[in-house]
Amino acid sequence: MPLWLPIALLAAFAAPLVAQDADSLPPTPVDEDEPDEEDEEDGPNLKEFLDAVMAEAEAARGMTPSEVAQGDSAPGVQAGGTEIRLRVDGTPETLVRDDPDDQRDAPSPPVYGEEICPTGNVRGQFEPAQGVWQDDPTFPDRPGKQIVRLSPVLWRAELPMVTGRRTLLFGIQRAPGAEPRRDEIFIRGEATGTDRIPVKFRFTVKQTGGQRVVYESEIVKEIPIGGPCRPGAVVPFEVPIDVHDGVPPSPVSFAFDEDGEYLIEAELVTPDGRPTGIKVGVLGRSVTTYAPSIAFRIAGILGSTLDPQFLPELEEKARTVRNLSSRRLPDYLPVRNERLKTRLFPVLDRSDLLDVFARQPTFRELRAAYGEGFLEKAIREELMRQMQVDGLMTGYDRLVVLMGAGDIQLLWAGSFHQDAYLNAAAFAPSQKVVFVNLDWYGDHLTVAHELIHTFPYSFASPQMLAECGIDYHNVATMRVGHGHRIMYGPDDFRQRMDNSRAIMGPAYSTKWITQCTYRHVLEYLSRGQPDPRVILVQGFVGRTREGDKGLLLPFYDLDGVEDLPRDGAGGWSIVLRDAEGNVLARHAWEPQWQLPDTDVERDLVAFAFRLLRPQGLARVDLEGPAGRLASKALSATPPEVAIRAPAANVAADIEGGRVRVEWTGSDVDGDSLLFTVLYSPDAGATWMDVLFESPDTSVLAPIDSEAPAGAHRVLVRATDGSRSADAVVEFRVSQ
Amino acid sequence: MRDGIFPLARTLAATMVAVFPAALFAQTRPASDEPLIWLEALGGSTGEVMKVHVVNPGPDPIEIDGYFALDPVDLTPEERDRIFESVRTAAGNHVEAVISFYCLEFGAAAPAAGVIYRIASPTAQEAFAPAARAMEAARRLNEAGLLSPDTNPESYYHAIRQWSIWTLEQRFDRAGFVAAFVEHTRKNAEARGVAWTDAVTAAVRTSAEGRWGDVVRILEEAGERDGAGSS
Repeated sequence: MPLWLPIALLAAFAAPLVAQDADSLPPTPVDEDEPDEEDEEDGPNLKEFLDAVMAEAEAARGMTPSEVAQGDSAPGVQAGGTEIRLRVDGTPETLVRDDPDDQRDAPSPPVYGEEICPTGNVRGQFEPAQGVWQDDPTFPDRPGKQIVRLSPVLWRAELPMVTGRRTLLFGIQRAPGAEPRRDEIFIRGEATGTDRIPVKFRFTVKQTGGQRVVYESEIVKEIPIGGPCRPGAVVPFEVPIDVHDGVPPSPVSFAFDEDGEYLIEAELVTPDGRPTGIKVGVLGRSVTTYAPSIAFRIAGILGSTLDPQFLPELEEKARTVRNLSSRRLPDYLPVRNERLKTRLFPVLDRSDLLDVFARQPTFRELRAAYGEGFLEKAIREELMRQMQVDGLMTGYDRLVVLMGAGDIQLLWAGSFHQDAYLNAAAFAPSQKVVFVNLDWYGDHLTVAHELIHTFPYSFASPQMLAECGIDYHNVATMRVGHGHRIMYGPDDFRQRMDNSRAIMGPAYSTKWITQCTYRHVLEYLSRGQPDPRVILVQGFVGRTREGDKGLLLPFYDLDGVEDLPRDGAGGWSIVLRDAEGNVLARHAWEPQWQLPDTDVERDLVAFAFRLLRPQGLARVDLEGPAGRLASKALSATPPEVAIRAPAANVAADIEGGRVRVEWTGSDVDGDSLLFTVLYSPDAGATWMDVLFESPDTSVLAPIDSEAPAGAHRVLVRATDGSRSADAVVEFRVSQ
Repeated sequence: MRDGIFPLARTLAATMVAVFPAALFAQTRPASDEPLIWLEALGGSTGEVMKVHVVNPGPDPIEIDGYFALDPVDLTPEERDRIFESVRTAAGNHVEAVISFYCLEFGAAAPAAGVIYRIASPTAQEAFAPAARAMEAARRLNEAGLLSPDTNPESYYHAIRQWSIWTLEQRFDRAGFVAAFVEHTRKNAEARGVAWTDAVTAAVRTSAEGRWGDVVRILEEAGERDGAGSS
């Protein structure tokens, strides 16, 4: 047997650790022995010792709280003996006391002495929250959505904050090394002062651009940090502050001003604002998220939706859904507390879908292949396709199609039958478009649920399981939404939302976003606009005997993807600047002066790039290796364009397989306009050039005679040289 | 720097008796400006397993330096928390420390965490005096390096103090001490699910023999040799 085992056993078990059979070993009274002569001379003076023990014990007994002193002895619990060696300094006479007659109740001096005594073993805890907790009680901690204790006085909040979003500070409930105190922020430590000084909390946010105090409390407590200092006399203290409704208290909140690292410090300061050096902090990161813009549109296929008797009621509901979505969804989503950009489009009448497909050879063939029920599927898919294209063309990030119950049933259940099973308030068939049943739970929370499915498409059960370990999608019994709601609006309103049903749960009126969903959406929206606005920059670059040359041609505003990343390598650059000339982005590239796979040397190269359009863009520069070659300022106002012919949704006259397109354009800045015309035979899925950058205002556009009757589109795009605008018309052709 | 509040001489001159004249007679509820003491078991075994929290609202320092018999108090957790909150928030200077605690009854369970104790009655203090002398003797011998630890010195120090107290209580002789020590260690080991073999028994017995020597030394130092029985 190794030697260490018995020793370890002795260390671990020789002490009275567990209950034993007390009856078998009855206590035996100890006989007092009189000290002998040797004890008197060489050992302790026992009489004196006993007297001292008795005196000190008697004095200490007097300090016992009365309820403890008068309580019954606990039966069956071990009596004990202890040794106490302790010194407790007195209370300074300047301490403010409750007794007005006490001479020590003199008012505190308005200005305290210079000395703040050293403190030690300081610890404390708090966290910032913008809706959900860092330390969610349901979802297990994972990197990126947890709060980590770095030291007794420093935490790292890994769930990013959203720049510009209302923020409050709370206690921590559940994190390794934390005490479960959601409703209190506290700082505790050990002080060495003799003077008790009132202190209050000061919360400061520090970021690269500077620091600012976001809240300073009233005086919270008095702690012994004033001099004279007594390093040998350590006095514990704790200063808590109630944060059940968050701090700063209503109606004030704060926001992070800029992206990047932040440090929030909670420090105890004296009434006159002097720092004590007693503070705890939280590190984290703030990011900008993109608030999606949403277009709403009532679409009808069946007469039940479009019947004038019922349509006004649907329109009223649509206005309500749009308004509530615009105002309330920022409470739930990780975006700035500002109204979402929304728009309610005119009612779309697609009753033609009921007979379009029966006439088309392609669909007839498919119908034969699919058999019973194909017509309903075709209607559904065609409407979804059209809505998705419309969504892309409008420039809104998402299109919410609002429908009556009958149409939703047709789309969802694929049946005209009134009793067809329907168990959906809404659904999201694509990244761009969601459908909402206005007749059944068609509210803004349902809109939020469906939009979240598309951030990105499709966030649902498998993604929840993978990201958070719990599938709460449409689970009615789970109350997994926790946090504190900070409502946007003229009146500050905040509300604890712990144990709420989830936004991604089934349709209920009271719901809250879960930490899992919030973090997922935050990560997605912090990437930038889902389908970002881009500016198409085009022109030429050349090398001549006189040096490098550059020319910028008309720009266009589009939705799309970026062709040329910023901060790339190359001697030529497109530089995007704001009104003050500050660089917003620099996109560098090296022109292909020699065509690939050829010997052709070029001294003039055309270019066209789609670049992410930054906020505040005011000017575009073209720079060569030696400097700026061309520059174009964006006009103050984009042009306007309207299509006069063909008329919307009526049969257009066809002249030799062509339709006459006429339009008008105007520009308040007085810039001359160029027009580009495109035609689509498939409701905008694809486009064909008809006219390119012409000053004309009419053109004959060839059409596809086999295209479905409701699928013809014409788009007229006007540019004033730096900004552009589009007009689109849906038209029919006479047979 | 603020001067003159606590002259050094005044602080040094303070003694227990001097600072507790009123407390000597106060057996009931202390007034709001009287000092408070709170004793709470931390749930461990012998050694530094008790928390003491003292509040001193007076202008003069308090020094507590001695040995005390403690009596467990029958409080519900709610009562305990409520009373401690009143102590914790009482006006005055607060000092909290971890102190040593020893069981006086061999064979009884160690207190669980959260058990509240009070300074026991004068009768109990008187009965406790021999144990206090043993504790003091152990302290002196330990400081002089005259104990013979066979394991971690700090753990050994507390353990040998504890066994000295039990030896006084149980009037162990050498054989009784060794048998009790081995049996006690065996029960604790088995309660932890550790296999108890003959080899372990032999090792523990050897250790007990060595510890008996220190127990005798302590009791002799304390003037309690007769209580230790023959060696």
